[in-house]
Formats: sequence, C-alpha cells, structure tokens
Amino acid sequence: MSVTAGFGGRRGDDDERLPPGQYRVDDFPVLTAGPTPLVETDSWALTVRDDQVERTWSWDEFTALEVESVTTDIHCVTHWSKFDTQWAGVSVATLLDEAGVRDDAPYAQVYCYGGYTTNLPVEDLVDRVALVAHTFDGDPLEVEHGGPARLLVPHLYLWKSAKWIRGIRLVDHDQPGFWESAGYHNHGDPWLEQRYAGD
Amino acid sequence: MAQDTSTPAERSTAHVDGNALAGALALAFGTDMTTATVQCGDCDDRHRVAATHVYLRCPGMVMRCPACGATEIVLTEIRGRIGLHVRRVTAISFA
Amino acid sequence: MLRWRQATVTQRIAETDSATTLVLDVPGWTTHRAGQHVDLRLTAPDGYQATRSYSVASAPARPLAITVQRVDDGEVSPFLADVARPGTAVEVRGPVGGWFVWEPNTTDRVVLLAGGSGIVPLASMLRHRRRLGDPTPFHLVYSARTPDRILYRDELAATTEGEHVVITLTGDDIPPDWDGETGRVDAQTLRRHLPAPSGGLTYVCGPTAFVEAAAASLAVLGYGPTTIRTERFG
Repeated sequence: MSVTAGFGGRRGDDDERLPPGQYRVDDFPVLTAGPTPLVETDSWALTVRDDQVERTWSWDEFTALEVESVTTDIHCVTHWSKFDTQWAGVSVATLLDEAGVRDDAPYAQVYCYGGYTTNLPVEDLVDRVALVAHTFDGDPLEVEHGGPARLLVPHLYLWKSAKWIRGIRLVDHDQPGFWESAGYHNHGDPWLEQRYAGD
Repeated sequence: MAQDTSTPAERSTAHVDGNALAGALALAFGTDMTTATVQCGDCDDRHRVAATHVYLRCPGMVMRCPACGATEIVLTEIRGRIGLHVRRVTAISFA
Repeated sequence: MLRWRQATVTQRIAETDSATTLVLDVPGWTTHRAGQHVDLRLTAPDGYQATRSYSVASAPARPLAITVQRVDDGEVSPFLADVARPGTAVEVRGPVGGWFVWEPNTTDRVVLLAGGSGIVPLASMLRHRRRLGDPTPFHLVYSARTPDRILYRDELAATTEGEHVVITLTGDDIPPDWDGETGRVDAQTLRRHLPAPSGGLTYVCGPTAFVEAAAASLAVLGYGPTTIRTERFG
C-alpha cells in the first residue's frame, strides 16, 4: 500500500456526529445488491413469526398501526453518513407485540422481497429505535430507497436496515444474512467501526 | 436472442456486467474468468461470466444470473484480500 | 501473478473539457490485449482506499494509457481527471479480462458500437488495427451527447482503408455545422451504417442502458447473440 499524493478520498470531516471513517453526504445515495423489486401495495404483506405463531399484515392493516416518527443520522458501511433523516413507520416493538411472538427469542432474521436477508439481535430491535418505515421526509418511501417499506435500525450500519422488507422471524440461533455471511461484521455498530468480520 | 421474460425491475440499469469482476476473479481463481461458463443453481441457465449482471453499488460485488437474477457469487475485497462466496452456482466450466 | 503494482503518471493529455488521458509507467508490466481493462487503486493518507476499473485506451505494446471521464460527484475520477499529473503515484492491477478483447486475424470483420466513454476499449482495438496495418474491415458507430464530449475525434476521423467511422450525437442542442448522424443508436441507424450480419464479431461498450438498447437493435438486424460481446460500465 502506498499513499497517492493529493488523494484525500472524501473524508477529513471532524464532525463529532460522524462515526470513525465516515464522511457526510447531503444527497441520499442509492445502493443495491440486486434488481429493485417492484411490489404494489395491494399485493404487499409483512409477516412476523417465531416457531409458534405467525402474523401477517396487509398494507392497509400495516398502515393502520400506530405511527412513530424519528429524525436520525444514518451511516452506510461504504463510508457515507447522512444527517437528520426523517422517517415514519411502525416500531418493530409494536409489531412483535401485535404478533404475540415469544419475548425470549434472542435473534431476528429479516427477509425481503428480492431475496435479501440480514440478521440482528432482538434487543437491537426492541431496546433501541427500530421501525418498519413507510415514509421518508413526509412522503411515501420511494422504491429505490426500499419502498413500500424498509427496516430502519439507525444505530447500526445501514445494510441492517433492509430495504423491501417482507418479514421478521425470531429464532434461537443466529444465522448470518446476505452480507454477514460474506465477510461483513455480524453486528455492524458504526461507532465501534464494526465493518468487517473480526473488527 | 431468447425471449425477454424479465420484469421491468430486472431490466433496470443499476448493474454492469461480469467484465467488471475480471480483476477480482482473476485473483481468486488465478486465471481469467470472464470467458468461463457458469450454470445457475436456481434456473440452470448457462452463461459466460462476462454476461452476468454485476452490482457494484453496494458493500461488495454481487454477480447475478442474467436470466433469473439469482445471486451466483458475492465477492468482497476487504483490506486487500479477496473473499469469494459462491451462492447459487451448479457448475463452472473454464474456457 | 496478478498483483497491485506501483505506477507513475508520465503524461496527461486533455481529451475534452471533462476527459483526460493518463499515460502510466508500470515497472514489470505485461502488455495488454486490445479491449482489456485495469483496476486502479488510490490510497488516502489515513489508509482509505478506492478502487475503480478503467479500460486501456492505448494499443497493445504501447505505453499503458487510460482515459478518465470526470464524474462530478465521483470520488476517483475528479482526482484522476483534474489532480493527477506527471509524477503522481497510483497502483494498478492487470491487465484483466479475456472476453471483451480483439485479436488480429481472428474474424472476417469487426463491428464496434460505443456509447459515451465506451469508446475507450474500442479505440484500443482500432489503434491496434492501424498500428499493425491489419486489413480486417472495421465499422464503428459511436454515440456521444455533444461534440465537445467526443473522445479522440481527429484520430477517429483519420480513417484508413477498410474503416468506416460514424459518430452520432444524441444531445438536444445539435450545432448547425454538424454534418454527421444524430439521434440514439437504434435499428434504423445501424441498418444505414452496418454491413449485413454475416461472419465477424461485434463489440458493444457503454453505459448499461446503451448496451441493452444497442444489443436489442443488433438482434433486429439479425446479428446473432453469440457474435456479440458486450461490456457495460453502469
């Protein structure tokens, strides 16, 4: 490795709101690991389940649930962060309550339209802010940003905030998702710079 | 040319093609792979690596079947080391 | 063995307002084949690295040259197009890619379709042909937005025997003195300028949308899918 004189990347911002190794953007980059699934709201459904119970909401049922709004910074493992993003949706804690799933399952698997998956401890979904978001900046969430609905877990790198969410399954044994099984960190806390396995 | 049965979403232009993986795959396999033929583990379609759909605007590099969109290979280059994660692939024949 | 090699910029050539050719000296470099690309890596003082692929613009056996089109919100291309100068050190890996390549005396004729900076690897093929005096007929259709985006304009215009070069402008403001083609590359344009689909290989390079449209148009003209090689750069 040798330093390229004059190349600074996009970094060098000392803002204390930026986790280590991040730079700030004002636009909203669109990242995707595959084709964008187009899901109409009249065929959309969200399922929450464990090994005992299963609950599915249609779009109308889902959007009738209590709405929670958050304004938060988001951080992508590809080094960009965006400040003060405004989201609205249904808190994951509400969904788990409504579904009546067991409250002692340690892990969650998140699965999506298009086949994407991610995994995270249930405590990251219920003890912190975590939404299934359907609104961004006051407007319906655009499909390239994960609409009709995406997970939002802003205290972890954004690959955990799965776009086009289709379901959450609570399990006893952790199972790495799409990126977690390809060398990315299993937890992904940006403040600890948990980018890759072993960080 | 085969009939196009893809959905509008699958015809999106967010991808490039397997040529973009030539460097990383050459490191992983020790030979040029863009001329190799891959059989998709989901739909059995056979195609050159050069013809696959590759997504680079994401944490790693994702190579997908051009016929059905299944994830065939996920490549990462983390701190200078190539990671090769074979997902839905039945066979690879070298040219 | 493929590995990162230290490279030094030896020359920069302004191609257009937004594109720059960089000539690189790479000790130990093996020469490339026409159409191949290299991976290029930049490292910031804090260790942050950015890697991109660039097609080789120069002919095989000539010094390694890449042409960089500046993407304004890009991270690497503004550095290469605007900041890098003779003496700048970068790292390169390659040459790579064995599919999108042309070798002399392998095919009856060659059709090249370029969209935007997709001209770069095709220019390497054309330069290779001219340098060797290879007689293979070449037909190039090159789509650019505006005249000031045309790369290698004078060089492309200096055709030698057996070369057919057509440039089509796709932008809204076509200058009144433009006497070339206008409009996107579609089946009608190609029918006007390409030979009947018999024998030979076709190379298509450009943004994904261009490549998809061009390949579909070639199919309309009866070009067989196995004779078409494509490279998309997003």
